[in-house]
Amino acid sequence: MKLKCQILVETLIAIVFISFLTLLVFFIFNVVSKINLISEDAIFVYNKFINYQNILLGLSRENFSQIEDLEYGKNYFLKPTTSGYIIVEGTENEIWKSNQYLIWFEKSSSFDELDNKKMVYIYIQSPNKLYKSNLLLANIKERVFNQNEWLFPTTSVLSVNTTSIYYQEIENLTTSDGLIRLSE
Amino acid sequence: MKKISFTLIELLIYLFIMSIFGVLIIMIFYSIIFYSENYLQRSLLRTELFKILNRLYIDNIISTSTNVLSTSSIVFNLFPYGVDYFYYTSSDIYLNNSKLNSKEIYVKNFYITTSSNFISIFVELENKSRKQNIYATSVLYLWQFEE
Repeated sequence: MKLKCQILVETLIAIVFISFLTLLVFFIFNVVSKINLISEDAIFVYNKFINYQNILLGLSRENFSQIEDLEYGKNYFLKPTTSGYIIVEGTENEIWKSNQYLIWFEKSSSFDELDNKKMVYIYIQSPNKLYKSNLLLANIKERVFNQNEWLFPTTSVLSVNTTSIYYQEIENLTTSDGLIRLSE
Repeated sequence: MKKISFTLIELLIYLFIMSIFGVLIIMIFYSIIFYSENYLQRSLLRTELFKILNRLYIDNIISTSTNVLSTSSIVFNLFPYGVDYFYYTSSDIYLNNSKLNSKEIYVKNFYITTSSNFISIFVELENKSRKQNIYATSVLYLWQFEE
């Protein structure tokens, strides 16, 4: 009887130990690895979103018609040149830490009737998620905050929204004519 | 009282099985520790990079300064009330003499390039212990620019 009790106790301890080990292995190699992946996405997405916002802000401040002339429903990306950046139709393809990312932006028709405001949607497609950020560019002909002196006061631009809104699963993307679009 | 004893073969089989289990358990724990350490080191690199980028972006010191000067490793921001400067030296990044990166990492590469009114700052951080690295390029728009 004593031997049976001892075996039972040892079995219970072994079950607890193995369960703990299993949970630990699952947590480390499944949960943590996913957190790691999402976290690496986050730093890249954060960096690219703000870069695109800064560049679009600068381009629209220098010449707002560049934003006005963009066509609806087309994808564009920013290409560096020796004299700044230019807007090119298509999608930017960047590889960062062995992962492939697609970056593009499009002009929204939300503010079509307003000549002095244009909404731009910036997208980043990571291997896992699609991220989206909104940027509202305004062509206002007066002073804006924190600007005491303007060299060219008629081409000022105000950035309103620079936050990431949501992410979307990759299955909702469709590709047609070499352009990536969101399914409605 | 019944005497319980093992033969030599039984003892060897028992030790053999236990040694296999022991090796497996050691391997599992070693892999958990190794992976956790690896993850923590990568996480540290990301945190440090985010901290540096955050200071560049969120402080947004350049957009509100009255003048900006840049060299290959220093960005000066001239304010009416003083000077802020973001610079790189001796494998560390500083903002106004305050060190931004931790002791466990060093700055492998740091470049500042300008084109038109845009300034690009390339930062690459590397881990001292595990030789992992991470990099990013932050692009800022200079509201007023003189070189």
